[in-house]
Amino acid sequence: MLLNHIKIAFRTLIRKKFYSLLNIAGLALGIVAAVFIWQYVAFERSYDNFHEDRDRIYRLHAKFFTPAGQDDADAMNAAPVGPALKAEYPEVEEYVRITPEYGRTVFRYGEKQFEEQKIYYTDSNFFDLFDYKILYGDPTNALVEPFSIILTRSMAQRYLGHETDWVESPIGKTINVNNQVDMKITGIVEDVPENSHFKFNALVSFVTFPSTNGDPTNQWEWNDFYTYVQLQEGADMEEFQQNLDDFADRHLNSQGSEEYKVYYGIQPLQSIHLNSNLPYEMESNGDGKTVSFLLLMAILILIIAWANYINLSTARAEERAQEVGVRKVIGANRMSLINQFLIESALVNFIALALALFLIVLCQPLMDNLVGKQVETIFDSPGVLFLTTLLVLILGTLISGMYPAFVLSGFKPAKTLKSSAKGGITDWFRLGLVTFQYVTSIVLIISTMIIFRQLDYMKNMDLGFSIEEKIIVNAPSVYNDSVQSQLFDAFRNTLLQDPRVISVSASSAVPGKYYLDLDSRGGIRMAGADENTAASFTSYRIDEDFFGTYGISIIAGKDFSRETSADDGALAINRAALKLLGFTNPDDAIGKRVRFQSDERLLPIANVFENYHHKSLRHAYEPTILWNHLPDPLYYTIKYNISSTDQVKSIIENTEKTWTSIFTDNPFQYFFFDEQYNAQYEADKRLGKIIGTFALFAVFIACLGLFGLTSYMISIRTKEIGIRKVLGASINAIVMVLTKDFLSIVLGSIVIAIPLSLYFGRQWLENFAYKSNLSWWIFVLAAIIALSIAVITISIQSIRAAMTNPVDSLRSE
Amino acid sequence: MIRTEKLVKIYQTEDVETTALNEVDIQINEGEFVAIMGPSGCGKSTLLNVLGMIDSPTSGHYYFLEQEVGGLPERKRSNVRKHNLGFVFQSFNLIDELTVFENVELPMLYTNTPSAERKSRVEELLEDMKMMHRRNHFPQQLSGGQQQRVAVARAIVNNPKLILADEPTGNLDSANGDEVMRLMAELNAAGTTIAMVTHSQYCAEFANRIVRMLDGQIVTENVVRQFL
Repeated sequence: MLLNHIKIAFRTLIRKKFYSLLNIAGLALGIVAAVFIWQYVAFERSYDNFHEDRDRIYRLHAKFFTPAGQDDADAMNAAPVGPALKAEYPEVEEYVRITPEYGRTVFRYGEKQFEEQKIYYTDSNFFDLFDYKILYGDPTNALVEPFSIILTRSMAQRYLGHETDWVESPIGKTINVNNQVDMKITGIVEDVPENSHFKFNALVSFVTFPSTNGDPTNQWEWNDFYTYVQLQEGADMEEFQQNLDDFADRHLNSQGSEEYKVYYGIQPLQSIHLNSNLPYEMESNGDGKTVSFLLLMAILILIIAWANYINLSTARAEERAQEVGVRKVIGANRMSLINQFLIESALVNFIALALALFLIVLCQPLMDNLVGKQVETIFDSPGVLFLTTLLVLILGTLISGMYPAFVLSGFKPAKTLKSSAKGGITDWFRLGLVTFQYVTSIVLIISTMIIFRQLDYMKNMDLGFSIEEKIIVNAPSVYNDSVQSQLFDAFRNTLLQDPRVISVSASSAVPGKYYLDLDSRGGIRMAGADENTAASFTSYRIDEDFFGTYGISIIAGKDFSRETSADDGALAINRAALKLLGFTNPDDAIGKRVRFQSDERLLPIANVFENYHHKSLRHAYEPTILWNHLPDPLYYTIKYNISSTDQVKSIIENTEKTWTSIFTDNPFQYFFFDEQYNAQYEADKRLGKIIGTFALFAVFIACLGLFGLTSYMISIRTKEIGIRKVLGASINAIVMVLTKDFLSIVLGSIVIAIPLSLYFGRQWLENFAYKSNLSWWIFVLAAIIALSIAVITISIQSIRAAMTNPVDSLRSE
Repeated sequence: MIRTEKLVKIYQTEDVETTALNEVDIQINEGEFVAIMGPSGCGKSTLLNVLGMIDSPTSGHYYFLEQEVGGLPERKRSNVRKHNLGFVFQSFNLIDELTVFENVELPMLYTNTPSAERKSRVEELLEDMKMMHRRNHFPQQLSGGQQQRVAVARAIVNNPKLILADEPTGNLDSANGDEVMRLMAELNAAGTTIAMVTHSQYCAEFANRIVRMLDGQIVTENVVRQFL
């Protein structure tokens, strides 16, 4: 019997090539899309799942409160927090602190010298909590001694040559940092997995930190440390959270200001990547909402594909009705017929699945390129592959096959053997499915448009500074401050001899780059003002040429000059800071002194500058104070003016030449400012591309279904078309008759899709402090696109049908 | 073998109620060959469908082999059907996707007949029907007469006690029609009971008894010849 079912399934498939092709193509594309998205979603959700104790590890973050409520937060907190917690609370089994090296780090080993990033200091028990794979060295003592360093395999290979060429163990070799200290290599770890929220190139023992940065042991307000705790098995997270409040009150809030309080929150390790978006995250994290939206999209696309199958199979029911009648008459019961139709659906799903797997292998590189990382694929583990295919096959067979099986097997033989069951678009279920397909497609089209419109809006927004014609060179690290300052003067003056170079400026941060470069300074108030008026400000340090180089406009006071930079320097505040410091008129602030760090350091305000977008447009303007005091800059910005783009190359060559002659011991590393700034939107651009790509999939699959359905509807209305033509209907009138039903569905879908996409669009735009408006034309354009695609799909066949000679269509009856 | 009492079948559409069978009493004995005649719409096909248990009566009683089957649920009717009845249709109703051999074999699949037995039985029947050389052809590749011979073979493959034929010659030319009628007569002679709906007086003459219907009722019954 089974054999008979399979046989007939195959033959039906082959006999109805056109519909089979539509069905298989639609299902395969749906599976491809769903699997691709699923892989990405699964990858995003897999962050930090390789740590064995992940369920017990939490990260602490700081929350800052003013009387008005929570004012700010910080992914980092102070160094003594971890040790104190372990000492006071038995449920804290272990703690690990991690803190980045903020300055430039140039590593040298023999002749090889590179600037390195993502260098972190961490406690010696790092490997007790985290399961990064150690390849050489002993994880238990590798970070015990000062000046011990663990490198990743890639970093080690940069200096020591390819691993296969190592003649002796790298352990014990020394590597020089910034021409200042020698560090002993005590371990080599495997490169950090892509799905780790913490990515490092090297780990330095925490005990090294005080010698280079000062001792943080008792500094409760020095919030530069990520603190992780591992709780005892079975510890109650909520109870611990309450303990933390008590802990913060005892250690911090009882001594500090009444108004300004700090509390700690905890985040499960695995939720950091998708659910944490605090200031000073280690990496720019993913977005849980987006991932959920993508997952929803995967499911919807799959359902669109299954809906095609359901539509086409039930629409063609009448062709199968006679067969069902015969089978019933000669003894088939309903169950056996249901089995038969499910086997057909299984066969179609199976072929589609096989095709889909082939396409996935073929297109994986394109997908990697689209999402910007190499995610784990279902082919990476046989278990996952087996389970996924089995699940897709079973679900696909049941979901796409069940309804047609029930409909078809329910035919009454007495009726079907004489006349035919009518399959039409009027069936409410089918109507619902087609509507669903179009609603989903239109929502995706509109979502894509909203994303790209926002990107465009951000690109064209006046940022408050000029973004073009600048290159930025990473400042050198291997000199002491005064030497560097002299060398920088030489560097600048040499470059300025080139008439194309307009200005050269040094700063400790540049807009749009690595937010960890920014300082967050709390407790700032006007000199003599009440302690309770103190607030937090974003801050960094700049030289006298910074405002000119970036074209930031000064609205009161004078630009920094050699005079303002003397001694402790002077301050510039932006409009937002002006307000926070209690001024309404910019001119009133000029010359007033600010308690910037302590009572001993009262610095004058030299100017007020217009707000500009230092961070991406996701963020609102932050009250910012720039300090004209720059012993250790991180960036040199070179502004040039060229008549043609070919000259960029020669400017870079000149700069490099100058650099190498002046900063002899430092590698030359530069980037284009505009590229760097726009890279902040890389993730959004990617999201737009991902949703856009899969919107195309959805639309295309839905169109395949519509195409099949139309051609079927036309085939059963051939006689009607003939009669209408004999009675004098024009081609237009017939095309209208045939398209009317479908077009009303598409129009209905548009009506449903608009509020849905408005909802999703608003949700997504919530991420941005500066949003493009959701103009009406987006929706009109999407409606026109959807309608045009549907009209084209339908008319191709309607026109052909309308043009046939009526005699042919009548004779066919 | 078959006995009905006051069999009524009413078709209901939105506003129209059509009485297809109006208190029909009919008895068909084992070994009989009964032809049911009457103008279009008189209810003869409905009667055949009810007798064939592919449609259920609105009211009245239907006894098949002394068992009331009129009110049986579909599952049980299907079971009675597959073991006792064979059907022949005007439009043959062969399954296009199956070969001649597979079409004939199909009813035996539903009765779970072992493979070897199926093969020998189908081959035997195809020999009888002179269709062996066409065993691997598909229905579309056959003439109407050939298709109906295959349909007859399919109807009798499970040795049914009763064959229900609905205009079996309606789509055939006279030569092919003749052949099919001769086949039916042979089957009847071999002991199979047959109930056949027909328009053709010529075909009806092959039966033992002719039942005439009009407006859902039986109006006359003539014995063509005494059945043996």
